[in-house]
Amino acid sequence: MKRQEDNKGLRCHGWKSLLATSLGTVALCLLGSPLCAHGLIALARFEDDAVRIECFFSDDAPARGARVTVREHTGPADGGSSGGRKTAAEESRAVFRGTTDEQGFFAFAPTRLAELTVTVEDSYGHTTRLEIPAARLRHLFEQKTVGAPESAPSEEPENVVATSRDRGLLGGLPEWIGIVAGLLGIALLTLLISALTRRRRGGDAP
Amino acid sequence: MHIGDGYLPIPVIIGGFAGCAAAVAVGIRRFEERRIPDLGVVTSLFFVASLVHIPVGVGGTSVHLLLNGLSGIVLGWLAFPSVLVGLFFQSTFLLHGGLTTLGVNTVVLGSGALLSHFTFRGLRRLRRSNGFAAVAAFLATFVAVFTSGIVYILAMLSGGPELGKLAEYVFLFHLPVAALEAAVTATTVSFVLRVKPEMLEDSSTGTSLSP
Repeated sequence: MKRQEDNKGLRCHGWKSLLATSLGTVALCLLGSPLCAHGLIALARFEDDAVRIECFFSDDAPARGARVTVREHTGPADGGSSGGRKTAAEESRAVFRGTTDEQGFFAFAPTRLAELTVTVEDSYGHTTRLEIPAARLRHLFEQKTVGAPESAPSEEPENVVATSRDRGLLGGLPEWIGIVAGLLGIALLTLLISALTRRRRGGDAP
Repeated sequence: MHIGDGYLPIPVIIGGFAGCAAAVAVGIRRFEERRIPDLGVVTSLFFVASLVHIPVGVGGTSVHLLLNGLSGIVLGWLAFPSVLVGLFFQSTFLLHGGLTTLGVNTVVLGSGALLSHFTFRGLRRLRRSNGFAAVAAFLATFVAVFTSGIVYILAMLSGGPELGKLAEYVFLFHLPVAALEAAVTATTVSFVLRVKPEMLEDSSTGTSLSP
């Protein structure tokens, strides 16, 4: 009986500490958001007749030596951007591979008008991806053929072609949502293990 | 010390999953119901701590807290399932670390956690005061970071000498962070021994480590 009471006490104390720590970790994230925010960001800009990928962390530190892969969408050759996600690997092929320089830059010159997917991955395992619609590259090819330099599309500042906003399963949402989702996932998993263990114990009881 | 997808050869990835599965199985065999809250708390801490990056001031490089030392001290073999779950959520929700390298990353961080566990237990047998427990936790954390660093370098070397060189830099940058991490772990252990000493009870022997 005493042991059962002890166990009950332990369980209550444990759940209280779980709640307190969860609240504490969320508070830590909110207070320390400048430290927490360390996502890898990539953006593409026009640079003469090339596209320059700039990779940096959210604290503005350049992502040096990050691996860059440029995949060309080889779907319908209308040069348009469907905006849809590629579902099969064979719909795209890698056309450029390389690593970023000391400033976190990687430049390449597209050879044909097609939708591009750029994946950037640093050695720490941070990954980000950006999509460059073919329509945004049209300017580059018009410039080549006509020979008259034109200004980049004016709707994006400083020649920015595309920026990455991927965040795993929660693509496009802020990083803190990923943190909260992860903590919730861990809490739910803990509850599930607890429920399964309790049910098993109940089944074992005479 | 998270390795992304595509860096390691397939045999190493398979070996990582095999090692991870074996270690997680041992952890699950030692699972006890009273450990569930500890498991939840430590896994949450591990998940969040890995997101706190600290710039080291060299070429924009930054390193992050691991807290695998604390995981090992509190959970022992259960640190492996805890690290696996933490890494899985980091990979899926935050794109931090690869999914194919989940096994290798678990072995990298879990091996450090396990050695930290044994180091802490060994040192605690020498002297059982709370003050010495903090010192033991401090040293055990260094052992955790050092062990994980060595395993990380070995794993990265399998991807080529360039990756191995990069891993050496990452390891060196983590050493100053290990001091900060050791201080955090020592403070936490000291606090836990005062308010909830059973959290640091040796699950394999059932012996309390409180003074």
